[in-house]
Amino acid sequence: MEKFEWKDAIKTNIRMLKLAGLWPPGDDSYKLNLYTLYATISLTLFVIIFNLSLTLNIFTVLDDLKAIASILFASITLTIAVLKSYYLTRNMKLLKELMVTINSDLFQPKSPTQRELVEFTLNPWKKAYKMYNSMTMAAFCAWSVAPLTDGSIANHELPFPAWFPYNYKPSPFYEITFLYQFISMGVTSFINVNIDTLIAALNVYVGAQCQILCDDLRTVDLSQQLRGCIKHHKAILTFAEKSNKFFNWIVFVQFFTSVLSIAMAMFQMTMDVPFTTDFFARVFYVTAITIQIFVYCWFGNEVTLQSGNIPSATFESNWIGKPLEVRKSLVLIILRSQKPIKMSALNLFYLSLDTFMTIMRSSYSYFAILQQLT
Amino acid sequence: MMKFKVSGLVADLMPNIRLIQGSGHFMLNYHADNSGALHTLRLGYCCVTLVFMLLQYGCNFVNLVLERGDVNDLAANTITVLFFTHCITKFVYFAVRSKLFYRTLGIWNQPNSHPLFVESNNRYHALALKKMRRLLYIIIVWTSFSAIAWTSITFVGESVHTTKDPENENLTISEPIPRLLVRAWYPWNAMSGMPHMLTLIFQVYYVFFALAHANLLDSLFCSWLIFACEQLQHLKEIMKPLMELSATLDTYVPKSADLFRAPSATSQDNLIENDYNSKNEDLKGVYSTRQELGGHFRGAALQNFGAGGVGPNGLTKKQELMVRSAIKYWVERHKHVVRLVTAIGDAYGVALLLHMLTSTIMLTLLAYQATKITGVDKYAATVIGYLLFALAQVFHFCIFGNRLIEESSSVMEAAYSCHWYDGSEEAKTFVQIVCQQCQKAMSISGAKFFTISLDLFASVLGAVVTYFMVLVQLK
Repeated sequence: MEKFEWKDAIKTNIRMLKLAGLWPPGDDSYKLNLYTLYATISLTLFVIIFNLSLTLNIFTVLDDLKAIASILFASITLTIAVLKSYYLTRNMKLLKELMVTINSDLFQPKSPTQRELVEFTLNPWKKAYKMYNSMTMAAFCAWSVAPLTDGSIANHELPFPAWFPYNYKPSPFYEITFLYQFISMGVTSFINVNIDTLIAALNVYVGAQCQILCDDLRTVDLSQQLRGCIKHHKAILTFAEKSNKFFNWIVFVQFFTSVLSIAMAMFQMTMDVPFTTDFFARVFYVTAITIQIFVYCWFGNEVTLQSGNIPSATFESNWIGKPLEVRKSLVLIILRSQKPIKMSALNLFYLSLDTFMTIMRSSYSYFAILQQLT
Repeated sequence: MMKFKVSGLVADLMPNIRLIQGSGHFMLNYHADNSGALHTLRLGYCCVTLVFMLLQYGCNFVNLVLERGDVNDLAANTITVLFFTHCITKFVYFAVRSKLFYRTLGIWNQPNSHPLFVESNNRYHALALKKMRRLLYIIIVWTSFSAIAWTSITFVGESVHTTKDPENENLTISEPIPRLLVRAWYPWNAMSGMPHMLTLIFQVYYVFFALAHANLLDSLFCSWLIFACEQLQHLKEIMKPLMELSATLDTYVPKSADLFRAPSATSQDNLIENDYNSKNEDLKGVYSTRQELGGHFRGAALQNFGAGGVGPNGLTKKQELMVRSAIKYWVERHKHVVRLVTAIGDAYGVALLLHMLTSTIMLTLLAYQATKITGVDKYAATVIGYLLFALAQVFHFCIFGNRLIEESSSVMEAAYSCHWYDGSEEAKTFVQIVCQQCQKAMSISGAKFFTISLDLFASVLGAVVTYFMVLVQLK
């Protein structure tokens, strides 16, 4: 049986991140080479400067609450993208280690049934990726072409109101700045989407591994291969812990700002004229950020569910008639796996569907208050 | 004179204890010389502090009653009275329950030790000491800063309050009141001159000492928790060498029945022995420790199990005794930590409950006060100052309570992640018992009403934000 390539599922992710400068080649973190130079230029130019120009614009309209809200809700998502890229580059070494570990022999599916099981688990992730990607692209395209459709291109209005140290209204500057905003927004949205789905993929890998382990425990001959199962279990626990360590801060920052982000976006939507390009852009945007949070919570929940199946699978194994040592080891496996693997953000919030409901509810309450205040 | 020697927790926490004694708490032990005269002197100092605190608190309360006509004044004065209620409560609580505190401080006077684990023990002890000192510095700086900030803000802005105009019932005029830290009623006129200066100095003393009373006790509680957490880290670390110590040979099939060498069970032994040895071939594959451990414990002496006392697990008598003593050390140390945590909970639980009660009411009123902020002025600064201080006090003990819960629940994970499948049957039974015991995390509760964790802090913060938002709507 040829080797199952776990990285095949996420090859689009890796390609996009490579383009943006967030995936150094090979199995190492950033080294002093051409790619790092390319990464620094691309990230500074398209992500950091773009975000700065949008945020600085807030200071020019400090008095108007509506104007602030309209700028803030976009710049929050962009700031999150900057922070995520920062944490990704900082923990790149850990991520590369995880990629090497997932391709090791211990984690390979051992039979065609297991392969099918893994493919079946990876499908929801692929669907979620496609949906999330298409929503983000729709929002991004709608926004960028909004000046063209509603005629403000005649006034040389930018799709995203920003502050530049030079006057962008005269003709050559306007086109260049428009193009710059278009590319930057594209790069930033793709960074957001791909980092989120990469983290979801790590969670899906843990879930798939738990399924492989359950299948092993149910079918394998315990006297020979119990040791292998125990090693697999411990490797899964270490992998889950390292993944959690990798995306701890990213998820924390994401959850913290999602509540505000969704509330403000919904608020903006109520103030829009229906069926203009702007309105559609915002609808796509609200859907995209809801899917963003959903992707984290759903796949985190999957991990908890799959790891909760391990005790039952251990009980369903062929332990009858086996010697006492084997049975004692099984007891230890059950004792440990009764505490399911919970992915968390700094141990403060757990990635689960409960958290998703809490975030939705809080967003709605903040949205209601914002409506009252104006 | 008897030489004064301190050990255990008292030695580690000596700076904290001296500060507590200096601030006037009723902690009369832990002095080198406890003769009658000095003892009476110290007792007198504590009683004088108590009298001053209660007097000033009484003046605050009288002022609250006198100014109850105006809603704003009532709210502001209630917040001040509640703030100092908390400080007085901590002071009186300690005086009344000092025996429990002495008991907790004395619990670690005779810890057990094992030659193999001395180095690890000392390392974590030093780590705990460092963290406790750092915490104490932070608390001292924070308390002093708060007291100084409070004093300086007294001299900013006007020192007035609004009362009804005596001529016209519908108007309010502003009337000057003494420029003091805390609004209080005094039987003398404290507006200006010498009485004002003396009252001001008395109030500075009062505020500083009240803050110190509350914060130093909280810091003592958190230092205990730091110590317990570092002990749990030590236990997690020594699990791995303990397992390696008890790893079995691959040439001798373990007979677990021999572990329970009760004389009356000899007849049963033969039965099990027959069964086991027939399954030898199956088990060879499961235990192959030689390549795993790189052979460091496999001495030649262990090979000849006919002559020279190899026990049931394939280990020499000496090695087996070592393993048993190491397991005993681990279990006894864990029990000691559980005793420490229980004692901490008994000593401080009720104080935390009372703290949370006063804090909840105070934070609700502060949320109301916060809705009246109109700009960046003295009023805003005082409200935000109170808010931050109250929340910081709650956060202080919540974060250490949370760490204790996390450390104690990760002992099971540490036990599972060592190479237990290579260990002897006795070691595996030990790991099983540890896993079962440590499934439930150790936590401190506020007299069983709530658990001290970051969830508590999050719910307090959430409640304040909710009250604020609702009150803003009602305005």
